[in-house]
Formats: sequence, C-alpha cells, structure tokens
Amino acid sequence: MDNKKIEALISGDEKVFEELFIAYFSKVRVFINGIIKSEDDAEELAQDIFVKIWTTKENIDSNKSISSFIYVMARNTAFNYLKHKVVERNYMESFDTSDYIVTPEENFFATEKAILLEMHINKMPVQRKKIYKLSREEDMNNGEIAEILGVSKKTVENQLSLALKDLRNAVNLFNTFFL
Amino acid sequence: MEKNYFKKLIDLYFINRYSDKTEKRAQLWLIKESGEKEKEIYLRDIWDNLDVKTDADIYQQLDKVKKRAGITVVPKVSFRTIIWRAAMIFLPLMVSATFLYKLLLPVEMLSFETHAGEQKEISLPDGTVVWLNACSKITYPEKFSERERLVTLDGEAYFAVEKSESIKFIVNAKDISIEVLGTMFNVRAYENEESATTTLTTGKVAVYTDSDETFILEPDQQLVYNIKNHSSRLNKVNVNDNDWKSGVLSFQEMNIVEIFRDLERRFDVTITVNKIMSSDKYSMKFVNKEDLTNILDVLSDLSGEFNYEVKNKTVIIK
Repeated sequence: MDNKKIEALISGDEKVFEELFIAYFSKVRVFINGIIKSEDDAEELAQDIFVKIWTTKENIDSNKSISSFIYVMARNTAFNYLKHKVVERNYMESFDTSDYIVTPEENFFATEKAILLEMHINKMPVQRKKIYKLSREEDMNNGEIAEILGVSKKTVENQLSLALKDLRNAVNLFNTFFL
Repeated sequence: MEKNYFKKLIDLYFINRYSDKTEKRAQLWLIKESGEKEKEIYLRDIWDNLDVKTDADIYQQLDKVKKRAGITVVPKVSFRTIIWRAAMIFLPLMVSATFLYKLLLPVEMLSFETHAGEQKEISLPDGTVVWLNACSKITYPEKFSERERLVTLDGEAYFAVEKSESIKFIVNAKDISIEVLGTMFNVRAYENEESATTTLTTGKVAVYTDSDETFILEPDQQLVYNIKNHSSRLNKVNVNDNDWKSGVLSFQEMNIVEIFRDLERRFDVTITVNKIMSSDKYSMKFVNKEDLTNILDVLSDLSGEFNYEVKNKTVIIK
C-alpha cells in the first residue's frame, strides 16, 4: 500500500480500511496463532488489532511501512497475551532446565538447547519416543527395554541410534554431552 | 552460528503443535527478556515470509470489526460490490491455493496445509502420493534420509507409498505412528477429535499406539485408537466405504455433533448448535456428492432432533 492510500486511511477512508483488512487480517490471525497456539483467542486478538488500527488511525505514520506497523501490533498483542497467561497460571516452575544436566562451560544456550530437544522428542514416532525415554529417563539398558516392549534388541538399538541422530541434528552439537 | 538456536526454536515452535508442557516452556522462553533482539529478527522473518490464504469468512470478520470500530455496516450490497469482493477473495486464492511454508532449517522441511472444503494431492520426494483431506497438514523433509522416510500428519490423508525393500515409511500422527514398506492406507488423526484411525487398503502396516500396543493390520482392517481412554478397537471394513477422495462421505459410529464438525471441514461452513443434542451414534454413507442441505435434511429426519437454517456460510441448528 502506497502512502497516498495510508494518508487516505488516516483521514478516515473506509474503503482503504477494508482493503487493508482483506490484505492483512488472515495473516495477522495465523501469525498470532503461531505464537499463542489458540485459534479462538487468535481470532479475537486479530479483530482487536484492526479495531485499534481504525480507532487510533491518527497515530499511523504514512512514511513508514504499514506491514511493519501491523507486525509490531501483532507481536506485541501476542506477547502481552502470553505474559498475562504466565501471571495467571504462574507456571514458572515448568521453566527449569534441571531435567537436563549441563556442565558450566556448556551452559551457553542451555535453555534453548533443552527446549529444542524437548520439541524433537515430542515429535518422535511413538515407539522411538518410548525407547528413548526408557533409555534416558529410566536408565534401562537395551536388553531390558527389548523385553518390556516385546521387540528385538536390534530394534531397540536401531531406534535409539535414530533418536540420537535426530537430536544431534536438532542441536548441531560438536559433542553429545546430554544424549 | 549459536544464535541459530534462536531461529530454529522460533521456526519450529511457530509451525508445529507440541505437548502443553513443551509449548508453555517455549512460550516462557519467547517472552523472556534475554536475547530479545535475536528473537525479534527471527519473528520478523516469519512475518515477512508468511504466505497466508485469505480466510473464506473474511467478510464476516470485517463486518464484526466494523461494528466494533463504529463504522456503519451497509446491509445492502450492490452487484458491483459483490463482484469486487469476489475478485478480491479469489485473486489471492489463485496465487496461493494452499498455505505453504518453506522453513529455513538446515534440512529443508516442507509443509502443505489444506483449508476447509479443500482436498489436495501431493507427491513426496520418494514418489509416494498423498491425498490430503480438508483441514489437514503434512510435513516432510525436502529430501528423505537413507534410513527412513518420516512424515508428520495432522488431520486426514490417504497414502499410496512407493515400495522400498528396506527404507521404512513412517507416518507420525497424533498419538499413533504407522510404519510400512510400501502399501496403501488411510490415516485420520485430527487434533480436535477423540480417536485416531488407520484403515488399510492393500499390503501390511504396523501401528504403534501411545499406550504401548502394536497392531499389524491386514487389508480391509481398521484400527480405531481412542486418545482419551487409550483403548484400541480393530474393525473389519469395506475400504470403499470411506473413499473421500472420490466424493464419498461416510460416518461411522459418530454422534450428531461429531458429524457436524466433519461437515464444517468438508463444506467450509460454520455450524452453530444452539441446543443440547443427544449422543446417539449413527453410521451412514453419502455416495453421490450430495450437497450440504441434502445431508442436513437426512440427518434432521433421521434423528428428529433439530431444524436448521442456512445463512451464507453459517448453519444454525435449532
């Protein structure tokens, strides 16, 4: 949208607002949902943003990119939503990284690595996830795992090696200290 | 290179759904003050590369927003306005028929998504063909590894897997995963449904469930895994009964509200239920590409439970 149009919007042109809405509403909705992971709330927040764009249109700077302007609103709205949720539920306890043992010199980006690992474990095929968890969290050896799941030891070895390969790729590490 | 952790984390988190615990953890990280600058850069990247199809209900949304913003909504629309509106919607539709992301990850992951009322045929890098039903999403690497062919599915898809002597094809869906070497089968595992169903057409597949069970399916067998109570049931079915690719619409042991949810996906409408419906289960099949009102008429007669009213893309059940 060129700045002539934006100027028209600022002075109250409803047609331009409609155009802006059609160009950006769906994108704002998808973007917010990607951050907050709730479709219903994302829809409502996206609506709020466009109501606000109209009611405070005087604050728009016609010399700046409208896409950037909408992006900043969308991001701030999504972040505020998450911040409220944190206060509400006070789930700070889920924020500790103690599940993963890291030595001090490897502590750089420990949180990021830990979350990335958790995401990848989350997305493993069911059986692989199970074998990985039994091995790492329950400290079982391959023979024990094979017996519990009723599969061959070879399968356990294969699955573990695939799991580790996946996780190593996930964090691009030179060493594999927490695997 | 270390800052890449930020990018990876943000990209992955943005396009996927994870367990509640993992999502909360990632959200806390996202709003934490440290690394704000980097996070900002990568979020902005996502925004700039996000290619989104205009929602079908965009004008309903616009009317809502106009009302709240105090802009008068003109009730009558002229023919010219209709044409103009249609052009505005269909133009973006043609440009991006699906909602496609290209992630900037080391192994390029591709993701295809269908909207309500949409079906799509996709060829994977190994020659496997996938038919994606409405409101579904499939994610796979641009190039499969030499050890396995792993894809992630949310929703429903029919797979015709290219045969391989040794490289397994794995479908990772909500609470189940399916492993095959080469065969044809259907998987239905929508995020908002209580069960995940695998139906085999030819060959053999292994289904692993979240509750430590493994099932080997024979052709015409269907495994229904109930996600809530972790129980599994093996059914004998006629696979043609659920050939949604050729327009067949079939419901098996579903209550009315579940059937409504399915119709929403299939016909791209919103069905608002304004009364309490019984949980009686029905099985039925529509083979002739019936339209929505025909199906609603049959349901209404059969159950004797409701009347309905259609307004644009909304159906009100009363």
